[in-house]
Amino acid sequence: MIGPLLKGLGKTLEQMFRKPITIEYPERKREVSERFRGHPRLLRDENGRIKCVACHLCETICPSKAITVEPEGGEEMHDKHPREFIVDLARCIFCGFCQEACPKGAIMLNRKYELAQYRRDVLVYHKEKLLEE
Amino acid sequence: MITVTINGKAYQAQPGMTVMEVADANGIRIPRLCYHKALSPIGACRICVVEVKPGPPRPVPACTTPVADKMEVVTESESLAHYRRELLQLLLINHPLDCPICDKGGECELQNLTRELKISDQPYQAAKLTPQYDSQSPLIERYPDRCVNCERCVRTCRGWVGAAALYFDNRGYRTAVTAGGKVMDCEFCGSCIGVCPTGAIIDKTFKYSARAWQLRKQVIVCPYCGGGCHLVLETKKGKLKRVTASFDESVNGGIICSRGRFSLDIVQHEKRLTQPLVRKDGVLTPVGWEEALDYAAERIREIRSRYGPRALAGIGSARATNESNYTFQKFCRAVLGTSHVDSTGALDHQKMLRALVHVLGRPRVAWAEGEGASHRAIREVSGFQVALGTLDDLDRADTVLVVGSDVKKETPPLVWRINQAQKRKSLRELLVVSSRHTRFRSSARWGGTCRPGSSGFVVLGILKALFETGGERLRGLGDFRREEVLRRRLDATRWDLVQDVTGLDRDGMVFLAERLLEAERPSLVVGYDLAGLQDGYDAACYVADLLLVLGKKLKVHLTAEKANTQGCSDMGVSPYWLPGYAPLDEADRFQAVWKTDVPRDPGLPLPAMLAAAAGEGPEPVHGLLILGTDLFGTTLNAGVVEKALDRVPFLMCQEAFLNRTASKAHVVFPARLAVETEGTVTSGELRVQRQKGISFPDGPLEDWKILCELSRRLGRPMEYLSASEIFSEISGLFPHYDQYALPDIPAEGFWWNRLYRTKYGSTGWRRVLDPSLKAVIPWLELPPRSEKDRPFLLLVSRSLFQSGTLSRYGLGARTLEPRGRFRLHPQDAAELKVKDGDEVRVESASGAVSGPVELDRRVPRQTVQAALHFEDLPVSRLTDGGILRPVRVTRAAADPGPK
Repeated sequence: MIGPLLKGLGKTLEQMFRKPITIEYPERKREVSERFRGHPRLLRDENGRIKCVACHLCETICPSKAITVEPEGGEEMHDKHPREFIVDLARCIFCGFCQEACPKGAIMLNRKYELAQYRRDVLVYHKEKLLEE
Repeated sequence: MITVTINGKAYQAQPGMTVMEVADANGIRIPRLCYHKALSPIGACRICVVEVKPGPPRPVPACTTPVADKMEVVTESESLAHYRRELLQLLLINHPLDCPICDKGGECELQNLTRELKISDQPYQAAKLTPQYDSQSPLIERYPDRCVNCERCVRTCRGWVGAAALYFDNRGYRTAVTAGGKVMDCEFCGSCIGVCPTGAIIDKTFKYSARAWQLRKQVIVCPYCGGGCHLVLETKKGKLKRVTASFDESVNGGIICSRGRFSLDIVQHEKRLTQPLVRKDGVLTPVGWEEALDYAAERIREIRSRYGPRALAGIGSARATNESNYTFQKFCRAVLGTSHVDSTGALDHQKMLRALVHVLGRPRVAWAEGEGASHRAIREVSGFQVALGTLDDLDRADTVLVVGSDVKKETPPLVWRINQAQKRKSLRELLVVSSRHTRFRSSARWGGTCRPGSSGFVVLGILKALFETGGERLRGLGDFRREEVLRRRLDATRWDLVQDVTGLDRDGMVFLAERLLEAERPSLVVGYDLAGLQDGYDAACYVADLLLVLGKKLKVHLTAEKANTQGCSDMGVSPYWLPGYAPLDEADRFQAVWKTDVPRDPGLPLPAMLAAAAGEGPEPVHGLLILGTDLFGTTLNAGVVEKALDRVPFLMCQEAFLNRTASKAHVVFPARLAVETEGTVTSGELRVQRQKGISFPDGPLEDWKILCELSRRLGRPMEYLSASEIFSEISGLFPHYDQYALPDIPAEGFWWNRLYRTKYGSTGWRRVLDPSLKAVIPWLELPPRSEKDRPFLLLVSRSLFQSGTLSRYGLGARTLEPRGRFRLHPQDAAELKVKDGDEVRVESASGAVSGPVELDRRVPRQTVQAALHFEDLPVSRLTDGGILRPVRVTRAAADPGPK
């Protein structure tokens, strides 16, 4: 009878000297994989201009209707870009379809994953915010 | 019928059909690029190749190969797929990969075909061509690098529109569609945008604003001219993005004009009225609906009790739906008790109808007796409407005579049908008599130039020539009374006079008469150059007499400037008749339905009504109710209108925009446009079509709802819950409309002059041109001539990009013709020493207007042409109710300006 009890206590003792599996979030943040799908962000090309041409494919493919694109034409005949590009992170399910649909490689999911906010509207990311991400 | 085997299955076909047509009819998909069902095939792209047996040992294009009996066709095989892939890859050599930004992406036939044929790469190399982009033309942009040389745009522009603005340049690999100059010289109908399979021609107003798959499509009837075209409104989140047309419908076959395509943004124009306005301390102030309605009802009640019901008058609208117009005239007649009801149609279109009603009779149905009321059979249908032709009659016609009409500007669909009939060669003779040269006239077999305003005399001359040379051939055509009187009158009119007035010689008239007699299915197109004359009614009487003389054979087509010009008359918005052209002494029938007294005394026609409103005459008008009409955009003299509107103590307008008439009102109700109102509109060919009603801004109400609210406040309520309720009341009073209930009206509408077809089958009725009809032979006034101190004639004309004054808010119209101009012949201009763009001052007996000049070879000599559409060119200051007026033209003095 005493044997199993000691065995149990021994296990406990053993665990006390092991490295813990949990981390002390948010003081410490966990490193995620290279291929992790986090928040979407917009990219710029080598000239610093937004890569997106407002083709609406991401908006169309998005299964949770998180993306809204307002297109706009520029000075040039072939110049088309988004006047507004909105991603509602509260709706986003981080599936990465937008990234796959994008013909220009203009939208990518980064490795950020934090969503906790006091207000929902903070999670509605506009074009500038998406470019900064 | 012959039998054709396609992919092992047998199908029935008509001889003369092509393989493509048989396949399409049976739902077999053959890939295609240059073939379009609205256009004649050319077999250029070769994507539609099929194998035929018996036939050549190589693939043949399905679009140009006619079927033969027992032909075996294979549409899918290994080698065909290989051919198609190779052909497409060759086309893709020069095609840019800008699908993500191309507006065609998602509805692009090239894109779809590339996917269908599973092409993922393009292995060929060739010299890169430098595309000549066209970004300078208004409303249309062209990207030649996206072009696949299918020639659809070129064929549409030639075969349908008749503008021939696009053509092919160069040969072989360097072939490209070009418009000649830097900017397209075209009518900007945008039909090329509609047929282009790729994004080579795109709509500039839509560019980069949405993708094809995001748009919601709703079909409406065009609110501009009386052609009754179907438009497809494409909206995204309730905002109108673009207007297109469907090639699957029968009215206009997918072709629309620049007004329909580019000027429909008026529905969401920022200047749309959304709140009722009431004049307080001289200023129109926005108020709530209740306040405005109470105010209007109070004023009407006050005028009625003080001066009697005949001190009130109403002007209906050729833009509003049938239901609104019907409710309006009922409101005037039954609620107010006045018989003064008219519309601006009285200045032109209604003159023609009045003459037709007078000569050919009112629409009448005689029912067979002895049967129950629910299944009444028609014994006889008579009236003027049986002589009116439809667009399909134009398709079938072998001779078309156009008199007194600038058809392309008044009702473009008529021209498209004529162009197609000419292309098919079913129309042998197109004869145009007009005072101005037009592009349409240059495509005619015979074009004659008559003096401005002499259209009535031209018809008279044709009649005279008919009697002189027709002889025995006239016998058996028409059967009517007073033929002898007509003959004598025509004999008494000397050729000298006719030749002098019209400027055409006797031989020309005899030629026209001969052509009409020879033809099997002649059609006559009459328009506003005849009806808009001061004595348009008399001139139109001769048109009606011509119909009597030629009997059943001749069809007449009236042009209609506004969407419901015809319906407005049908609904009884006229002092001469009640709804359904019922004479005023038939008021009992209406009294029974309306359950109030209906005035039987004739009301004042529009010009007299305005004079009465200005305080003239024995019975002055103290309250004027106007439904969607800008009186300053008509040929009525602006001074007369201004005087009337300034004097009248109460003016109520139901308007979508605060135009010049509405800005003089005491109360303005924001009204929905006809596009936004559920109901019906009647096109110029008597086609009654259903308007489903898509509302754009919040606030405006339907015209009939406003009137119902007012009637409730006036103590004689008209309780209508829906437009279909009004429509069934109309059907009860006008049996020709009694063919469908409003929700059941088919997409292509119904013709009210074909009552027998839809509801009653075609048995048991007789279409008669009554032998008791008699010719009406008025004395024609000599058209106004230029005078000594007024050597020019002002000829009111129309712009291709505008329709009435409503279109002036449209983007297309504002872009294409931003301001009104006086058009002069270059030689006249040279004599006046004015250049293109110079200001001139045009002065008539009643006023003067200054404006810029545009030189135009098509304008007749000693004539100055101007349109009424423009706010900055108030031509109505010069006119006096007709389209002609002698004027003096001088170079503008040092202090120019339109005022």
